[in-house]
Amino acid sequence: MPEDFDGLLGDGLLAPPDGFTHRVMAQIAELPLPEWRAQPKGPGIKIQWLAVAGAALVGAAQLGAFIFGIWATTAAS
Amino acid sequence: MEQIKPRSPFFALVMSLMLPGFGQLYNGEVNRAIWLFLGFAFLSVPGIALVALYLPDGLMMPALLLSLMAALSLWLYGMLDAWRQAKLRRVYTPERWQASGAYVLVLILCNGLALPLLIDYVRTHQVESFRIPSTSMEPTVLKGDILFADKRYNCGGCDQGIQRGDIAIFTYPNDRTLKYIKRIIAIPNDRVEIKGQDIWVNGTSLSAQSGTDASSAGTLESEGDRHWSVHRGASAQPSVGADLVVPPGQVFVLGDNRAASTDSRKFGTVPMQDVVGRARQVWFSYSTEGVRWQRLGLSFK
Repeated sequence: MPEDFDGLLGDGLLAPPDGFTHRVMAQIAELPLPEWRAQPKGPGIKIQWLAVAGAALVGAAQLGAFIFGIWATTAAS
Repeated sequence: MEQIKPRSPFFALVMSLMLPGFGQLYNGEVNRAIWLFLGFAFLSVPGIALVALYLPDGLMMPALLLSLMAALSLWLYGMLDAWRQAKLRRVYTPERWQASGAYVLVLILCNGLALPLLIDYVRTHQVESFRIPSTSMEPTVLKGDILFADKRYNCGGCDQGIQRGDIAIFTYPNDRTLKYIKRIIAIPNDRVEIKGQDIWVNGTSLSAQSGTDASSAGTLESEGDRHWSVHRGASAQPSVGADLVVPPGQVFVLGDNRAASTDSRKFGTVPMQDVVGRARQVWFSYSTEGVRWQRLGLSFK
């Protein structure tokens, strides 16, 4: 068996017959579509937005400190 | 089965507000997110440090403002781009990695770790801003000046060693929470003599070739080819006399405003390892009368 595989590897790729793709696709009646996910409701969505707002405040403050960090001064008498 | 989760434009905008590129990550544009973050991180601090340290004096202020504007513009662009791209993704199937845990991890790594480490590195090893609350270095450095100090100074592997005449920033020996700015007058093994208002280093008076500096109403002192003005304070008490040899590993520092400076005449010599930077250039200056525009960009040779 391993010798068979080695032989196949040495032969290169198989060429599909003409119209192969068309015939395969013709057999597929329908493609599965992604499922719509319902948006969360109730306290979950409020908690999510609170978390985003809190993180946005902290993140923006952190980013501001970074941008202006090189301009922040230390006193030297 | 895969799920469709439309991208929320508002959510994408808020995420880009937290971190440039974060909204693009939410939209699934990983490459765009990485380049936006890297561009912003470079323009905000290392770019400004390069401008502050390497550009000619005349170009520093416009280049600094341009760098700052570019960083802020990139941040704003990131937010608007995230908003626009999210609007185009009303039917969107998230990738497997697009989970809340991944977003929190990216935020912590980039915003909580990488950016603070970057700014800390630049401030410690490249350039740091100092404001001057005292008149001790007038007429060279004025009260109200804000300047960049070159931190690539007096350290292992640094090109710039301590030289006489440098305006140095160091940790105050009697309170290590404070920083002082003074001029280095003498380096290790130099002999310093103070006779009245005259300073002698290795037997040569600093004011030997001096005259009155008409531009600042000060007295000119020199060391080698470097010259600076000092205020001797004619009405002040005479300086304390001294005659000492600077110990190895120490420097002797004086303020240019001799009558209003607490310096090596009071607290002795300063260990060289406490010298943390050299004053380079004024980037802002103000007094009770307003901004001193003529001092912006002034460099200290």
